[in-house]
Amino acid sequence: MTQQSSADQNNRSRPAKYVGSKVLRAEDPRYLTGRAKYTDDVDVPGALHAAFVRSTHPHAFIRSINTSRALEVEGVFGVYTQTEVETVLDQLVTTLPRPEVKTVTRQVLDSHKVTYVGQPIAVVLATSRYVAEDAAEEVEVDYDPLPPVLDAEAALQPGAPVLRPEIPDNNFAHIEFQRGDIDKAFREADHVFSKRFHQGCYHAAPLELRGVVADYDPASGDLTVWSSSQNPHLFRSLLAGPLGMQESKIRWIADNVGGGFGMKAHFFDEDAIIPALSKLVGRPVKWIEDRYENLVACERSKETIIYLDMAVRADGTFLAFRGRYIGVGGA
Amino acid sequence: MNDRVNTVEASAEARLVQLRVNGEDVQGAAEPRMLLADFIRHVIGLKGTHVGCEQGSCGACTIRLNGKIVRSCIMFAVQANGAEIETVENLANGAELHPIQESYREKHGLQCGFCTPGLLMATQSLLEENPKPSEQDVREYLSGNICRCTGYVGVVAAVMDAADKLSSNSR
Repeated sequence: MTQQSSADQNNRSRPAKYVGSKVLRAEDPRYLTGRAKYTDDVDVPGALHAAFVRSTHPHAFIRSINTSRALEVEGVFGVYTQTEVETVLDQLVTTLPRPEVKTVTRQVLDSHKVTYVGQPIAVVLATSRYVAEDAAEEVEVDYDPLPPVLDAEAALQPGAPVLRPEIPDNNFAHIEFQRGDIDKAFREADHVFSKRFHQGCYHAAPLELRGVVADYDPASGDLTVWSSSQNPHLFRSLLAGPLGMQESKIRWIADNVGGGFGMKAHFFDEDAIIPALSKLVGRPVKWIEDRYENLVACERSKETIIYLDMAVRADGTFLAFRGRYIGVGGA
Repeated sequence: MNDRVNTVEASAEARLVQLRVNGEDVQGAAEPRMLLADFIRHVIGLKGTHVGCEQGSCGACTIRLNGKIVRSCIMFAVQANGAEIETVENLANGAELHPIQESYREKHGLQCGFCTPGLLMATQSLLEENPKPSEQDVREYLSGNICRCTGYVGVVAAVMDAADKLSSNSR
């Protein structure tokens, strides 16, 4: 039977049931009845609850972290800084497959230098989130503040404070490209306009906050991670290397997610730190962020500053653009 | 060290909290500072009520307490002692959806579902108070519930449809 004749046969015998029809979503009943399983709905027996100690400075060295008072809070299992976490979690390497992009290699939990308000510095594990937050408040951090970098254009000027030593000019990707004969288009234009555009960063603010539940089984070496994330396969790959594990030993579950809008497509420090803690202590660890953490410490879509020259014909046709585009990647 | 207690604090400060939840008498231990939302979710074990802000601003935690809609994230469990609570789990009858839930489904009044239980509780309360609301009535009444996915158009359509359904059911 040729392809054409089988298609004809299908058109005659099978009326359109879905294409062009209004179809009820198959998943709605569990959302409507409250049975959908979001990350905070995951309960693992024996789980410890995590609360982060976060930087209150935009740019600072950390001289010392005193955890003694925190450890005395009843219900606290432990307080962990870079010293403990880096014994199980190696550095994270971030880059893009372009020669112009600088590679950044960094400790995931950095207890020595902070580059944004909200950066995780230490983690408390306790019998409940309530107790973990009590203890997090008792952690004493001695900061040595540095000049903050708040403006992207100022950050690109010579002499600006340097956020990362491997990026001395604060520019991690300088990419230039050209298409077509730009100079000719500008010569032949009827009008040339120049304008600076500035778009502030956006916050996705999904209603469901981020969360990670990690269960490392010391006996089998298997790790199960539940996370409110949009990219479970990629995150498993990104976590495996630093944790020194094969991907096949990691199961990353993104069950129901309460909105992401791109924000949850990023691999956050917490996505690595929580599984690392589970591996370190040999117990399940649960972390659900609160709205303060989400608004302060979570990634935003990037701020852009654009200087644009536009060559235009008298009838309004755009002929060419020439510009400088600054994308703010954040700390 | 610390004994391996799961999830819920049980300390000398804990009080007994007794509630009637969705028609069933339940009780559990709660420290005075435990939020009612956390009590419902982690002590009673009903996960349909969600926490989105812990500030009383998003409405995801909306439940009915003695008939009135309240934000369970800014109440303490001990404040609710003795109360009648209704959560989203009270709407459906097994696999049979409540007419309001059917309307939300048919009019695409949800996407990720996180705000949905709170909206359903508020919708039920609205339609009891005002069985024939205008669209403006609906938007005003539900203005305390944030949805980040739908843009509310499907939500309003769902509520108007539910109003029709419920008023024709009662004839």
